[in-house]
Amino acid sequence: MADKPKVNLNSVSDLKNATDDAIQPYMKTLGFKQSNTLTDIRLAIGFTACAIAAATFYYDYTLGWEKTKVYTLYAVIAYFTLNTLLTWWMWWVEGNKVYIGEREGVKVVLESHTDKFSPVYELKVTQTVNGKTNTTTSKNSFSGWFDQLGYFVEKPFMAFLQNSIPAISEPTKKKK
Amino acid sequence: MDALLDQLGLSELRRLKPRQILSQVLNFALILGTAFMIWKGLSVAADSPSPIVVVLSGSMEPAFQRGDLLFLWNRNMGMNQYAGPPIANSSQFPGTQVGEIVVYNIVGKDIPIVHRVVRKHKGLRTPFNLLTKGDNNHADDTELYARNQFYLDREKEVIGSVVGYIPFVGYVTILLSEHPWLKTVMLGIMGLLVILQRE
Repeated sequence: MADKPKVNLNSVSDLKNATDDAIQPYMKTLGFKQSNTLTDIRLAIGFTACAIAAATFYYDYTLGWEKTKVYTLYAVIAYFTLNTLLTWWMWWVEGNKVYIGEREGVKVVLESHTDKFSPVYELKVTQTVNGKTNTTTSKNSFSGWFDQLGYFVEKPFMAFLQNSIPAISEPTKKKK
Repeated sequence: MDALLDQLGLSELRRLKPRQILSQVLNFALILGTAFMIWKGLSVAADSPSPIVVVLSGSMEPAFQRGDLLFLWNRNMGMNQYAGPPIANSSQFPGTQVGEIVVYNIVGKDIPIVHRVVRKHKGLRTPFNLLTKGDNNHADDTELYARNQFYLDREKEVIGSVVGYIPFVGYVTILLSEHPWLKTVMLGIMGLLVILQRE
């Protein structure tokens, strides 16, 4: 088993990021296929804006200011429009989502949230089974799956995930 | 490889996957892109190739010291762009006045010079011809111009008139231009910090 990296126990954002990272491999072993559409669209919008900036830089560098004035005006407007779009996408559409996956017709959307300076990990699960959607929330302190030295312990986190997602906790109904 | 990364304190990198790497790169690229586009936006608003300049010499003391940051506005060429009667004196765009401080580049030289306009010719249907002189200089700028050039062309050589300034802030730019390796070092550090952090 590879040596899991140590996480800074005093940084809530480090803890949250490490936990979010652990969701994907575990969901994969459960048979869920991850959907990367949201991330891909965000990257597309972002890199288009950067391409516009790069093109503006190139034309301005090679042709000088006078000739590229009009193009620069349009490029600036386009860039800031794309940036606003990107911000809206990241804040409103992507929001807190850390995992979107599907298995045998069951679609699952996981959103994670931690309050500032609070060591509690809140997981919101939205699942769609046969057209019916329901949302559940569950929370647990990070101490549930990080040991005293900062190493991530898999088993308790997997159990927490299983119990949080109703669709997969049914066959193994545990009373917790 | 893993042990080396751990030793360098870069164990974070091991866990990065392609989309994550792309996201971090995008963050850095967006910072650079936004800074550049804000600069270009200012350029477009002021209609000047370089809307913010740093004073490099002491020829305008006591008005401007070396290292002051100047804001330029270039929408006052005062030219009637259509072949018609000259615009009235009371119009909104009277053009550059005598006594204004302008920034210009001599054709062929790259250094911006900040001096005051002392004489003005032509104008309205053709670009103004300006004669400039630094406040702290004895003679006017005829010696600074190219050979056989006695006046500045407002349209071609002047990049704007000064409309505001912030003292001392520009010293960083002077440092960066006198020691160009500083630029690379700064960018390198910035890049590393952004890519390794995940806030």
